[in-house]
Amino acid sequence: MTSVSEQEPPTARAGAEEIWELRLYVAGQTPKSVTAFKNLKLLCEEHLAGRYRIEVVDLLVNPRLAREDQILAIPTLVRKLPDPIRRIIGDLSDTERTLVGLQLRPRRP
Amino acid sequence: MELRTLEDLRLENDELRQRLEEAESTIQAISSGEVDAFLVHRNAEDHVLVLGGVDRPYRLLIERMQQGAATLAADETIFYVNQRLADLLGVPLSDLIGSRLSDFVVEADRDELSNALALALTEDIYREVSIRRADGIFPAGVSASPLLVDEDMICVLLTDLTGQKRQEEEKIRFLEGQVARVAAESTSAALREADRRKDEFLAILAHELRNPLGPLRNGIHLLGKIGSLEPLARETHQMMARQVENLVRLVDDLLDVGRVTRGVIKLRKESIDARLVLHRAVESCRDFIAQRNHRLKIDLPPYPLAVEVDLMRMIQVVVNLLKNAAKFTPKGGRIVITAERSAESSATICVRDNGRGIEPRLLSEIFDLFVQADSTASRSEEGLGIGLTLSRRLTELHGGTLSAKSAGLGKGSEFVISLPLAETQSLTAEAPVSRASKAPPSLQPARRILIVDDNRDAAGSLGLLLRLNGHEVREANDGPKALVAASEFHPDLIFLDIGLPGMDGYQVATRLRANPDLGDVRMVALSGYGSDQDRARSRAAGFDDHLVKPAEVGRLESVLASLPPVHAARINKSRG
Repeated sequence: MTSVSEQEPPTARAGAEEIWELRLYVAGQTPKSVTAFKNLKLLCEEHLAGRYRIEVVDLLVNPRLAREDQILAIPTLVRKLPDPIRRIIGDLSDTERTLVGLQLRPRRP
Repeated sequence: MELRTLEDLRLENDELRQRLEEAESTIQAISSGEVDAFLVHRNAEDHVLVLGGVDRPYRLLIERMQQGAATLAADETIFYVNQRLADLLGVPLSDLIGSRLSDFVVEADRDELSNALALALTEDIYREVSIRRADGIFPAGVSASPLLVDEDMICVLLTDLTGQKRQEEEKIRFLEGQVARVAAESTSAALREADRRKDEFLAILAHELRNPLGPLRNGIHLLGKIGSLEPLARETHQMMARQVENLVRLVDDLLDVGRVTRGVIKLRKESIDARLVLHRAVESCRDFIAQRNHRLKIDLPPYPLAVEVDLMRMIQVVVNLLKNAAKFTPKGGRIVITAERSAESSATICVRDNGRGIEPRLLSEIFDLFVQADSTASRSEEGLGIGLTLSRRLTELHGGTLSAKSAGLGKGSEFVISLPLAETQSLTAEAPVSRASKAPPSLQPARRILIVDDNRDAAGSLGLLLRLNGHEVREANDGPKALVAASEFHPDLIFLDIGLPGMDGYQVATRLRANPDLGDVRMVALSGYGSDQDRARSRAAGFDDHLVKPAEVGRLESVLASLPPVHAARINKSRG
């Protein structure tokens, strides 16, 4: 869907066919966790349709899993692929901030 | 070296900037309320701290209720589910998030549910679907409504209907059972009613058939008395006499079977030697058997077999079996009748032939009313198919059994009566007096006889018969005329029909008895009915005797013979 263009952020080295691996850390189904998942899903469908995978990690079930990605606050989204790892904290309701964080959009000047 | 250091610094700077950005965004997320849980490291353990909130009661409500709840995106993706739904679907809660609800529905219901969920973006819907789970399929009700707080989101409630469906099915099964039982009851009630009506119809039919037989029988007897030298007339007369006797016997059987079925037959049981029953039975159908050129062998034990039976009825049973054997065995056959003590307490009478035999499948049916083993062939023989029914029922009334055996078609038949032996083997001295007493037909003094019957043929033929024997006869056709005739004619004997129109026979009898002039008249009831009850009623009305129509000539003669001798005074009085 997204063709390589001038707007393509230089750091987003993913090709059109590269699969994005995203991991969402939640604490059970707290409202922010649910909202984050919903926002992520909508965002992916709009910008990464057909080339993303979302893994939901419930830290209430196993808090130790937080160590791998040094999670502090919940919800937190981690971009595992493409490199480099990026973290976005919060329920992803600020779409602009999320897109910038995921390097799907360049930081505003 | 310098270049490398510069590069290192640049990388370090980038990393620091990124960390700073993350820290800033974390603070921003927290301060803008985008975060509601934190990881805490305490005593080398990781804990999750969840911020409680004013929405806690609602969250608890959703988590604790018995229904599965979920919020779905427009494409059915599940964003939120409660634990109940995960339990109902048998899938870990974390796996449910991001999956589609219709993935858990059986193929057949999938499109229906998807369409309904699409509608739920704007309206409330409810559908019942079958949900597939690892351990099977269960019915569920799905209700969905727009989740107004967010655009293009719906909330879904899923209820397990297994218990409800089971209850409904049980209710339906129960109702079906009720319906079936009621239907069966009404059917069997209808059958019983139909059976009762059939019995009633048979009784009436037999009774109605019997009435015209009386005058016919009398007329034929009369023709015999007149005599004729014409051989054709003589043969015709004999044929008519035989056929009328056949007809009377058939009607009697029909009446009997009706009485036995309705349980109104009364047995006059006595201790009787079964050998006597056989003798008398063989006696009465010897001609019938001889006409068909059968050989008859009688095999009786040298000792008496005392059974507690009604002699006439038991003879009737054995005669039925003998005639049956004669009828269904081609001419020149062989019939064997035996009696023996078969066990400590029973006597067995067996009638065997080498005739047509019975198909095995019909063995149990031939005792049913109107069933003949081979209806097409047996039409060549007379009979209504009631002889065996009557015989079995009569035997059963005696506490015995009647069964049939046959090796198959063409292999002969065997009918076995088993009767309980009498407790004491002492026998009634002599056979009871036969119904038709052997009074000499003529040589009787002339009597004055009044015949009352609304059936003019019946009255007329009986009158003729009696006049022929030298008696003086008057006839009356209703009650009032009978009363007048009686006081004018002063009869010695009155034959009075019970079933008169208007004033019936009982009333006429009572009135006659009230007349002192007729004090010693002998009154005999003529009736189509002959039960003990009927006889008792006749006695109560003042009758001396009760004859069942058509009365045999023998019975009439014995009534006449039993009248007191004619003496002068009576003659004088009557001639006065």
